[in-house]
Amino acid sequence: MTPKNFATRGLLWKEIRLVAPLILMLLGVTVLLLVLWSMFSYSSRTLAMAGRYIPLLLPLLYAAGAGAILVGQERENRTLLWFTSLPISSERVFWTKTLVALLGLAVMWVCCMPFASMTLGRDQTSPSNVIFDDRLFWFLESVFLTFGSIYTAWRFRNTYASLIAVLPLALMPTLLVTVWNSLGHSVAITGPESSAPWPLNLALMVLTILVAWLAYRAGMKELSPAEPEAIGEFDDNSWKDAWRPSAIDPMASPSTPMTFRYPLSSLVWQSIHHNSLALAGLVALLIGSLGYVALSLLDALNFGSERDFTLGLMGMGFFSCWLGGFAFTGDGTAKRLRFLADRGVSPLTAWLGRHLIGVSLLSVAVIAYAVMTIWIARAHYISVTLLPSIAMMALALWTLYGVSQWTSQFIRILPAAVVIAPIFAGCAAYWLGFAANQLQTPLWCILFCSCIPMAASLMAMRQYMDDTSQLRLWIMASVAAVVFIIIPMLPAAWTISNWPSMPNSTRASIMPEARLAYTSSVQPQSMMQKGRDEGPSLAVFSFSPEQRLQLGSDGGNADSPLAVDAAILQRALGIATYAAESLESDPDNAAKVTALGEWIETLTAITRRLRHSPRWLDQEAADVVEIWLTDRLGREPLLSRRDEPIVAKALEMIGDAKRRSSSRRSAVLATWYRAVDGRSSYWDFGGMPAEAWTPDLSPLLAGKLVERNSAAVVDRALQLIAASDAGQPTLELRRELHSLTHSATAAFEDGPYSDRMRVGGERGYALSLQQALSSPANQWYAAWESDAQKLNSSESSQDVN
Amino acid sequence: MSTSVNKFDLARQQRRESVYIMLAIVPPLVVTAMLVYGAWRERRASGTIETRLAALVAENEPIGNGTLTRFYDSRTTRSTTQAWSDIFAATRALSTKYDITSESEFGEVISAGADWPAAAFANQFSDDAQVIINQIRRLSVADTPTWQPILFTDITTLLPELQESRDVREMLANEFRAAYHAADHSRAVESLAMIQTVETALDWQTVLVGELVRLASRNERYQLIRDSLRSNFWRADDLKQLLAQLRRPDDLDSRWRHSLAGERAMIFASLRMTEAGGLQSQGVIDNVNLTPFGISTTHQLSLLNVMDRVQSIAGVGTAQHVRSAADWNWFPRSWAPLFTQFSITSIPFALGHDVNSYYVPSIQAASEAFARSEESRRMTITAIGVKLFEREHGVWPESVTGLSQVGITPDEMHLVDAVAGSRFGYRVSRGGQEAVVWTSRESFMHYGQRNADNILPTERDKTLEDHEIHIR
Repeated sequence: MTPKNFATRGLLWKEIRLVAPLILMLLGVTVLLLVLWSMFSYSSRTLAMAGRYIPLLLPLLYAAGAGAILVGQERENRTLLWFTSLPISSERVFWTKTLVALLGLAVMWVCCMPFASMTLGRDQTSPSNVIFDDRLFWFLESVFLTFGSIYTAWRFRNTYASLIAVLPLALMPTLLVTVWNSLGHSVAITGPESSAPWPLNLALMVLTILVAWLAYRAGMKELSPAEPEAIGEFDDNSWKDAWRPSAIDPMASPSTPMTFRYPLSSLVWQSIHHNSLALAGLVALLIGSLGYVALSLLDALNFGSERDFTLGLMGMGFFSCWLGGFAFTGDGTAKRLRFLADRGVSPLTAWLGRHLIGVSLLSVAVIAYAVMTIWIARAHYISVTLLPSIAMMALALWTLYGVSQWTSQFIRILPAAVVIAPIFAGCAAYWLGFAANQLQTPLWCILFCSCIPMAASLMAMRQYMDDTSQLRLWIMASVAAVVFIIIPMLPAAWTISNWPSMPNSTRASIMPEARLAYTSSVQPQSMMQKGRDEGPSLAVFSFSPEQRLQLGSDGGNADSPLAVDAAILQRALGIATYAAESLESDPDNAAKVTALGEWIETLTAITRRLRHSPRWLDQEAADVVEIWLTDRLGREPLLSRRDEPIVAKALEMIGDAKRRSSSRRSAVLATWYRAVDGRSSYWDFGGMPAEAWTPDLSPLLAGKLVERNSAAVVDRALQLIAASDAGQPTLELRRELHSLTHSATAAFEDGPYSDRMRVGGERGYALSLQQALSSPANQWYAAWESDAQKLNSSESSQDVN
Repeated sequence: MSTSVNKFDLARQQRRESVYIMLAIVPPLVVTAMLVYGAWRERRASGTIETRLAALVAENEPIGNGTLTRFYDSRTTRSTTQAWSDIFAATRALSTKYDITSESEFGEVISAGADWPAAAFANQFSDDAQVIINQIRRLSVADTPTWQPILFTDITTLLPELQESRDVREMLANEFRAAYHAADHSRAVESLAMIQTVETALDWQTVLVGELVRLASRNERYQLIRDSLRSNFWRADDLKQLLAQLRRPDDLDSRWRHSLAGERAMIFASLRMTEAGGLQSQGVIDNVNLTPFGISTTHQLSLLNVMDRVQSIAGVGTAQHVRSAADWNWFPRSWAPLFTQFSITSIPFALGHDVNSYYVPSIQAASEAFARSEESRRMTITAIGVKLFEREHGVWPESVTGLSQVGITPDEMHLVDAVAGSRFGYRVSRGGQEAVVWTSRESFMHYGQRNADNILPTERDKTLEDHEIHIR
């Protein structure tokens, strides 16, 4: 092996060692994101679609950070300077780094493809994937970005500034698309239907060559023998010098009182001046983002169109993330801060010193945003919608900043921290948003959680300044992360644990009976014989005698269970009402007597069949029919015909309270068993939408609580049956049922379980069918039942409450 | 180095240091001050809302589901509840039996002796309907409006009775057609009166949709009368009875206020629900509740102000009212401050007009419905007056001003635009065989402007045939 080859191998080995951590971290972050995405994407179609872009993060983020890690880090460690003194040509150093950067990119693409395949099919709008659709475009973009980051890394001596400078380069394709579209074309680079045309790809290739050449020039310049640095002169001729702390004035004695009085002021000064280029880049990003938002809003004001200002808000988000990352990089690295620790500066002071300028800049961003939004509000322009409030913006920027500064504290590789911090910050912000939205975490808790990253970095400050074992720092960060994740869940956990349910003892005692009720039951036959798709022409709507018979019995089996169809039931009761009204107007008409008699007979048979059903809803439907029968049988002309067999049979049925209670209990138990045994969803809880009983809960919480809530409803319903059978008051149980099913929409006094809505006795028999069928047990043991018993015997009518 | 120089340098140095400290501290302090001010504004808005709602309660106005329920219960009678419930159920069954889906099943109003293709069908339907019609007849002298089992659940409140009343109205409209074709004068007049009975029975004056259903019913009734005037059918006594039906006092401003008070109550019931984090907020996109912490009090106050403003638009039933209400849709600057109420601390959104736009009903459409119905009422009265004049004097009146001789008041001859005060157009055609009352109103919103240019109603728009009543 020649010395030349040996040197090349050594160089390659060194460069690979440099990029390996970035590759591993990005792989880890991508896996984490994919895991999070698979956990959360079920709840949102937008999120499901966003998953298509996660694998793309691998090559693109790597490309953005490759230059900084291969060049910037070496410059920071001063090994680059050392290289220039070795007998290795500048070209070889440059091309080795470039080659390794491209090799790393190839590895990223190889890893990206299986990840991309994993996200295929999750997007419900398209089975395709953005990566597979536009493979060439994204590949060219990543190559371009790799050379771009290499160029900025060679060009800017400040690594942080070089990373920020990559952003405008990354936006170059968007600019190209805008120019391309302004020429009369229409192309999207982010949609599922996107397909980048060849001129765009060609332009990217040309740009890549151009940037590669620029990178080569910058690299050669950097690696060439350096000019001696000019020694700075500290005189009052420079405008900057007037603002330096005098302590570093060589003319001043260290003991003079002309130094800054507070260490904090020196730290602030240091924050501003040490890395002023990076700071300037961040300020430029902020101005650009705010400018974009302002232009979008101006557009809305001038042209009445609502332009999307999301890109501007995203720019502000990146500003916030990188500003946070700025806290513990550059002048805030552990090694630099150890210098302060050695000189007795407290961790709190150092921490404040690192954050004062950052928080101040964040505040400036919020103030600038406030000025814009107040201006919009004063313009009273209606087309500007969904404009985040000042507090929202402050909270978002604060959260992103907090997580990013925290990330930069425990990820010490600057490029990795800069690339990964926005991802972590974005995930954290999403988590808080998700908690607010789906876990219904209160605002105070969200605010508290947004402060956890700042508190975590403060608590880790001593270890960080001492630059001791990173393991301890990672453990502290992990604990803080767990706290950050768990705290937003606590209110939801408290809600769930305190939600009413069925006592375990009850559950154990009723389980055998419930199992038996379910297993011994026969699935009910639907009232709709031929299916809904046959529409209103379906013969059953006109109720021919055959069909009426069919409703009343299944092939001669009068005890076969029947499942209610609300529309058919409503029409059946309507026809029966018409028949009753007809007879009332002409009591001696034999045909009308027969017609009504047939309907009384049919409704009696329907009720009997509904009572045999194991579905809760069918018991409510049976109640509706019995209420109708009680009303009509208690009025003339049927009252005087109570001895006729059909009427007597109906009277006997409605007067049988024991049978009614037994059927209800059996159906409630069977319904509950069917749900807990996983044989039905809670959208069909015995025919009733149990998930809709808690409309004030988010879908996630409602889903978590539906089992407890339904079990509680079952428990109270069983108690209601038992109490009523024992002749005890039921008012409190009705209140509980109301709070379990309607507390979000009405007070008990105005709800379906109140006396206002219950029928029978002096309150009459006007019934809302929709209400009766949607509120479980709402008419149970109301006055109509004692009316029914009275009709069948000689007892007096009274509500059992 | 002299002491005086040191003192000078010291002062300069301290100034520098102060600037750096200020640079770091002032912006966060400004943001904190802004947020504190924003929180104070929210608190103040909350206090204002509570005061305003308390005042509304003191004035017996509904402000939520509970108060709306009591308001509704106190305005209605239970004495007719069961009877109307039976009528709705029986009519539904009858409509099902005859598969009636709309009035068009029976065709136009056909005079006696003329061929009516649907006559057999309509007469059979009418025969079957007599059971129900008798019931309605009995209820025409009962207390109104009737209580029905309505469960008020904010803006999602279901009002099935209003839908079912449509079947009853269609049944009675058919009864009118059958009576008209059979030249049965008293039955025809009575069937129209019974449609009015149905309207009165459900005249809750509690929710806007109730008012709109009632206006639709009125319009259908007016249309039946207009169609019936095409033939020389009505006698003078019948016409006087029809006039009496159309002249029943109707305080439109009061109706507007009451129905919007009900809307406001339902909106605030929804807001309370949203405050609890419920999903019934204005923005649920992709399963994501855009207002997880509820609607800010500033935006709630803005909503209250908007509703107050809408409620206080006077002159319901006039074109001016429509134009004022139309501002709602076009967002002029006079409304914008109410819409764009700005909140500093509301999370997540700063502006309140999304909230307002979501909750507040279509004010312009409602206002137009009132104005259109009122104009239709006046025009129908004018047309009846023309026929009555002809019955009593044997000739058509020379102009609508002559209708004062048969008791038609000047107001009843005028378009609903209070500013213009123009009368309906009138002419005699077909060699004196027919009189025509007409208006070529195109839009209530544009009417004022066009009228200012003296275009309407003196110059007819030939395309607007629907706005003519032909009287024979």
